[in-house]
Amino acid sequence: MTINYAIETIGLSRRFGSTLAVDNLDLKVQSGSLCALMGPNGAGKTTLIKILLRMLPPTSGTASVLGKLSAKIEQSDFQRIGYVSENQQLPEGITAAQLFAYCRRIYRGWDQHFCKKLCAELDLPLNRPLGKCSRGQSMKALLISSIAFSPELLIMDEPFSGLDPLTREEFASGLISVAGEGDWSMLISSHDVDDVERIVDHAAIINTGQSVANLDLEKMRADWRTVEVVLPDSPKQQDLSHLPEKWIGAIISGRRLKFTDTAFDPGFCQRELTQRLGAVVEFSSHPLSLRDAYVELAKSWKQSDANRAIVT
Amino acid sequence: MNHFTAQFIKDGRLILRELVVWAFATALSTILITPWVGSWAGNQLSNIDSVQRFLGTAATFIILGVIVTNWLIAHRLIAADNPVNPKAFWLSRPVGPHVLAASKFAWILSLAWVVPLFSSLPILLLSGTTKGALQCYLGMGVLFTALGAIPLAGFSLVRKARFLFYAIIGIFVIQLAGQIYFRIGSGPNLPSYSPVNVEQARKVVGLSLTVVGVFALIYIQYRKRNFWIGILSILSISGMVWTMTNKWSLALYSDSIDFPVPTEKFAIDSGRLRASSGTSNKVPYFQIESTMPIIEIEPGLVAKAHGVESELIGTLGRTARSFKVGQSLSNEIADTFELTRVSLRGTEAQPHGASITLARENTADWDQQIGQIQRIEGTIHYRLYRIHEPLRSRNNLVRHKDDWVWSKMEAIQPSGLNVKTFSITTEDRTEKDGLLFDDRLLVNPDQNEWLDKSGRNSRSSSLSFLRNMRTESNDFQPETRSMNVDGNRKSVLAPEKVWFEQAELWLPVVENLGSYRQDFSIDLSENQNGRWLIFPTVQSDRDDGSITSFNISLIDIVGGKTTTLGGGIDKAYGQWNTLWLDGNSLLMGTSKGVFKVTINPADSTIRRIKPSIEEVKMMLQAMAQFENSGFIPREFLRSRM
Repeated sequence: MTINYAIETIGLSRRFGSTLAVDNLDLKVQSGSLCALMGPNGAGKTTLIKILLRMLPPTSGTASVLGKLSAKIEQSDFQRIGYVSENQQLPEGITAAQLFAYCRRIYRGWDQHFCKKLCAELDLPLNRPLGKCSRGQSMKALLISSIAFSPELLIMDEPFSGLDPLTREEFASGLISVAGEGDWSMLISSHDVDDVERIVDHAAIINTGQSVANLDLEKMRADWRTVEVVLPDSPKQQDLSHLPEKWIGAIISGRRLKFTDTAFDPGFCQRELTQRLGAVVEFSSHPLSLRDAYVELAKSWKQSDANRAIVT
Repeated sequence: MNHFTAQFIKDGRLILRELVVWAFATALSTILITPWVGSWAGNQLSNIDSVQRFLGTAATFIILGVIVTNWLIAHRLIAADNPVNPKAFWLSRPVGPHVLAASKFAWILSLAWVVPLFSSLPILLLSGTTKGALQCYLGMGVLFTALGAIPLAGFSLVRKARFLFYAIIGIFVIQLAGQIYFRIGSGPNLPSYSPVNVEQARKVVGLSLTVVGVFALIYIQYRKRNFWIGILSILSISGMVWTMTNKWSLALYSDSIDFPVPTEKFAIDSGRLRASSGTSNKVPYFQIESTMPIIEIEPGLVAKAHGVESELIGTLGRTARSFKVGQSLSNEIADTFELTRVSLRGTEAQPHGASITLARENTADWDQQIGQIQRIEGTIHYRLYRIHEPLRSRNNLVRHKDDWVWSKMEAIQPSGLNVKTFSITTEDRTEKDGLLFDDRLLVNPDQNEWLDKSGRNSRSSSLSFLRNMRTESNDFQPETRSMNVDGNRKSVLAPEKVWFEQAELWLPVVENLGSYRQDFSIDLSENQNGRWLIFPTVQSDRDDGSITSFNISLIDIVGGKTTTLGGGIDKAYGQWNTLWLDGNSLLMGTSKGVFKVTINPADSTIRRIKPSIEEVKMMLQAMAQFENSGFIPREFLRSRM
């Protein structure tokens, strides 16, 4: 069966002088998938998005968006692609209502009813000049202008940045309400993992321009567990080097050992522990949130031997 | 509704506030300045002084206001959807660059050119502006658009940056400060200063924008490190500087007037070349002159050359310095006056021709070319005027205490005519020894340059009279009196003058019919008259300026030989007149004598011989009839021979 990808990069690299912002990145976002793009500052997320939207040319490799090479994306292709970014500048000198009137004329698929519904849900003042709108209001206007034409793909770059908690909640709720509507794909880059987790069903995590993990959240919630055990004696650090690869972020605290099992099977886990570290006095496991998983992965990058791709 | 319309509407909303300012500035300009613009002389903004006199400093601000408003609008339009700004909204929207560019240019062209043009058209047409002047207006509109909006739009294309906005404001402030300084600094005793000095302004603006542009380029290259943007910026700056500093010559049109004027009638007289010498900036020069005779044309028509482009073509391949179109010939204003005066002598009398400098060379360069030059080629640009009947003649001045008053002078324009310039003539008729003498006083309030020659401050309210009375030396005797032209009381400083009491008011209207050009080519080797240049020089050792001795040089341009004939003369005045009898002999005369000179073509020598009585009479008649114009038409000779 042929899988359709909304976004696909193969060996994608982008260099700025001596800095390699994106390094041989392979990334796939299936059509209909709502995907989070996560990574620390400087991981290459914004660069990747700019390449996808042909705002930057790649140094090597290819990037495809909706089946078209990003370098060949034309202005008319933005009839199918929505883009929301914290850095995007709204047109000056006009109100939100005038902006939407403009969008209505340039987008073939513009749904005025949907637009009005979103404006009401997000409580957006329509007659205030955009230049005088708050950051949250501007982001809402930007969001509405980017989704009211029902794009096949919505790309968002740090949409929650700089928003106060209430506005962030409104914004996220609005996204959640529309995320389930229609058959569309989404790539959302954000550090706000909690908000993102409510929206997406996949998460792509990159670091230093390379792909670190591509998580199916449903599967992650089922398979990933934080495992905490109490051992008869304090384990030695060198004992941890022999742990299975799917156990990451192992921490020793006295007789306690804590790690994340990315393919949790209670029987297998206990057997492995007994074999490698001896008898287990106490054994407990807890499911992970996306935040927990991301933090565990981030910790593992700092370990010299843990910078490896994990695919579930 | 297509994308262009959507973008056009959006851009309109963007500049809504600026549009209010623009509408105000444009309306002021259209209502107050356009009626004056219609009197453009044809190839330059020559009548800006008239606007200045009418509106004063306000004209400066109105014009600057329009230009600056256009700048700001252009900048705002482009910067709002900046092509190189990675944060621009349009980058991720389905609006093509061509749509954006089309919308921006549509707005800029509409506001900077089309709308002002069409709003001005009714006023221009009602004021009788000719077709040619309209074309000129169109051309100037394009030029000003290029000067203002387009270069700035080019800058805005490079990068959206606030500093650019402040730079523009800075230029405006510098200009404003300069205007104020000059206005305050030039008191009544200082030389007058024209606030809108186009020549200076474009250098100042060009220089200012160059500095700003270079800094902008440096800034951009630091930020963008983009080769092509750098190249485009350099081209943009270069283009702008060139646009601002180039001496534009807009000889755009040749009017078709409502009566046929065959161009042959304006062809220069190739057989009557003259030579003269002088000094310009302490560098001696030699120049070849001729006359553009105007024969058998409608009474009242006057032609005046305002530019000559010529080449001296010879075996050395040298090119003579020529006069660019629009660059005034030194005696342009005097010529105008003279031609006007002649035409006023009566409807039967015609202007005989205009003296034209065909080519000028530094003497050192010229000397190298003697014997090498074979041909003179070039183009004369001239304007054609029609002198109309006096609008209101014989309106006497009335003495009122110490003042002389024109009770009310109604300048009724002929129907459909746009009065370009006008002269006021007072005529004084006196009787002396049983003979009636007509003396005329002329004043031309629209020709400040000429009036300034008599030392008048152009900003004062006084007017100068140039009395057409010639002394024994036949020189003009300028007399300055104070007079208000527009119908109010006039203060006359010398009311005891009899001629003033008897003066009559004439109001001729000089209508500018258009600019024309006439190519000429003179083959010196085949033209016997043209081959010889008679070059008289005189010396004056007396305080009264009378001539005491003379030299007549003959230059054989083709043969390269120069011979000189000299002699003494007692108290002659005025200029020399030349009347060629045939290819090898001519009469030369001053107020005190007539000589006959013959040329021997074989050895290029000249010889002075005594003219016959008939020849002397003929010469004196010619000189009397043509009043030392320096040119005696061939028709005169034909009629006597």
